Amino acid sequence: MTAVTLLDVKNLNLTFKEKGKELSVLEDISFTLDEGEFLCLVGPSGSGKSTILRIISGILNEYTGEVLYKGEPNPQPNPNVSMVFQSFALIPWLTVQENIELVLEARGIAPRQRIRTALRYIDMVGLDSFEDAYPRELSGGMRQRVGIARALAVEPEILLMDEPFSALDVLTAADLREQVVNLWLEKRLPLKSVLMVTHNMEEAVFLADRILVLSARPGHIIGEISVDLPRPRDSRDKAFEEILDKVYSMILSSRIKS
Amino acid sequence: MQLISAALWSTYRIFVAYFLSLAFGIFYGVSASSGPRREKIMIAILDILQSVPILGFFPVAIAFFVAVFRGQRIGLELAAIFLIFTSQAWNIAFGVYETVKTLPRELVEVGKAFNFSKTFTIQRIYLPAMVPTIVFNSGVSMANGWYFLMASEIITLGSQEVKLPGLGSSMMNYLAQGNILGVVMCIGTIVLINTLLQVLIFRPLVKWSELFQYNAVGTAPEWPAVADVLFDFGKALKVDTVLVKLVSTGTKKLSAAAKYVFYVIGAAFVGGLGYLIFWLFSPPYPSNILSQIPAALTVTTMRVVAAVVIAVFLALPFVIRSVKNTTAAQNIYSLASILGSIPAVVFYPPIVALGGRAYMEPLSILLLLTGSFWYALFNMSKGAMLLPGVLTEMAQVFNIKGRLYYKNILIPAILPPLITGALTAWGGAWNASIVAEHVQFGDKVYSIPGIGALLVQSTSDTKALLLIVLCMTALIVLVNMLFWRPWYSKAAKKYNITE
Repeated sequence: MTAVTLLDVKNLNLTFKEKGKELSVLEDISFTLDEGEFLCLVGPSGSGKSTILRIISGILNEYTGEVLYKGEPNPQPNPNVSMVFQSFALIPWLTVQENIELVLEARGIAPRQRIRTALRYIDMVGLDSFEDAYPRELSGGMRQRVGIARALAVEPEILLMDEPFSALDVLTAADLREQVVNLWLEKRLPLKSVLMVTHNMEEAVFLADRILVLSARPGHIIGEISVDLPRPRDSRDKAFEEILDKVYSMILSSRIKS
Repeated sequence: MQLISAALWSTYRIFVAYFLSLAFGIFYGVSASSGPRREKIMIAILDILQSVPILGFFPVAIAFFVAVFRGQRIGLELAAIFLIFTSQAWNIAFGVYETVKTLPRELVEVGKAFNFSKTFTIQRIYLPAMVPTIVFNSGVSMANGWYFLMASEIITLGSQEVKLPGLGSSMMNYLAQGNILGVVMCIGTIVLINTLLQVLIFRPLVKWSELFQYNAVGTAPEWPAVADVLFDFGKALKVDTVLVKLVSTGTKKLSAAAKYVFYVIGAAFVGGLGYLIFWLFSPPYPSNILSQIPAALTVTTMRVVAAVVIAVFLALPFVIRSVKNTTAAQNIYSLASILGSIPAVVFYPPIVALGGRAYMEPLSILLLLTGSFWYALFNMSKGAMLLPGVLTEMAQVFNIKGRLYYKNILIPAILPPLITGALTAWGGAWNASIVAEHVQFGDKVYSIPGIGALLVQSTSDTKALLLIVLCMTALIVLVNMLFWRPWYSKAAKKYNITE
């Protein structure tokens, strides 16, 4: 059985002009995201990983190359794509519930339906009884739960995650990671695939079906590793460590070369 | 009864001018931040507008409105409102421009990632993000409007003086009659109105506006009743749609036709200006006045500089109080709004008469202070309030105290807002200088040399008047360009402390 290709990214190139000098950010990035796949982009800072997500989500639209969604040019913005931000990006003057309702309202969903959907997803990420709190009153972990609930509430097929756990403490991050995997595995949601960006290699091995390794300045793909480990995964497993080593050495070798 | 009617007239003018300023400020600020080319031109224009001593341009503006409406009451009324507007609008426009320029990138990205329409983004992200600046700068603008009230309600048309009903003109009448009680009552009314505005509207709004701060932590401020009332009013009057329209038109790219209209207007303006300058510099020259300008400008500049330095130093202790202390900062804000609204220009003539010519020099600097101190205080305490906690905590941990603390931590950390404060104080002092140097009380005239005195003495000679205002504006703009702006951008780069 061959999986349906949801996203097909072809020859993505991006250069910035800074003080007259041309600075290449992305160089010839090509990859696919299949249905039912959890794909991680791993690379050091400066590898343009977040930029790739911003291009797919329609935030950035000056680039050369192609992004296809189910074989057609990726609509900008694509309503089937949603995003979780590293810095949460919650609106400070809106409560938890209002933050989620906002993105539903932008899609033209009627008020009653908005409230119902918002409350359902607040519940799903374990934030019930915090509906009326403002983001500033929440801990980092709780804020990112709101970020995840907001991203899921628009019922996307593809979830983009931009270093979603890197601003959280280790325990909170581990906890939230597990919950995200479970939400995705349960297949109760319309969510089909996840594309996540991280610089944390262990996190990538823990979550992904497949890992793409990027090098820095300019960002380009230096290798691909598939992770055929059963879930739930344990970072102390022999097989887990072997894969982690592979990712490590791939990144290190790219550093030595440059 | 007369007092109440006068108060109502003045309040109505100030509020009409304020709402116009708000609309203008939002439109102009948003528009100026929507493209690099526009930004350059529009901010330069705003800089000049802000630097022009408004009091000096009053006669010109009045002549225009009176001519358009052929001397009817409505023309005078509009002239008064326009004059108040010029004391309120620029500061709001600058605030909006800065907010839009520094809007957190993530907020904009959320709108894009979740497919917000343009209207929706403006309504839900841009407008709310402007709330803190608008609330804060409204306090400054209100105080400013009241400060210039008297000048705007007494309109001189050639030899004729027309008084519009209001607190400003009442004060002048009482003063002419020597009725001190009347003057005090008028000032009491102004203080009362501004205290009520502070207590009922601005203070709750300032506290509430903290909710809109992007990186704030801790308990959220409560939603005050005023905000609800204002929201309901706004909805009923469809203010939200108007605001969205304003912002979306402001950010629109000019169509080809609009561009040509714009160019034509610009060309006409430049042509008019060219003609005016040609006329100004063609004979006959008012040579006796021209020759006095350099010396007069120098003397006044010295007074203004003295006032700015004193204002900054006087504000420092208050600023230190408001470091990481939101309550203190809010109290200072309220106090400055109320006291800054007192038109000190009113007391000035009797005090000068009492002291006589001998004390006029220090008294004039005192008057400049009343027109400049509040700006320094407003801007500096705003900066101190937003100082990141890590800095003060670090100083505590390493026991950095006294001179070392002020020299190496506090002053550098608040240097950018300190410069903004000094810059606005500089503008305010220039403005006040126009009334500080030449005073008439009863039938006696007191005068000290300076550009303000020169200006007042030559109101009958339009050419001389315009030349003086032009020289003054040129000097202020030049100093802004060569001194304040470079200093600010250097300080902002070096001492950037935003987390």
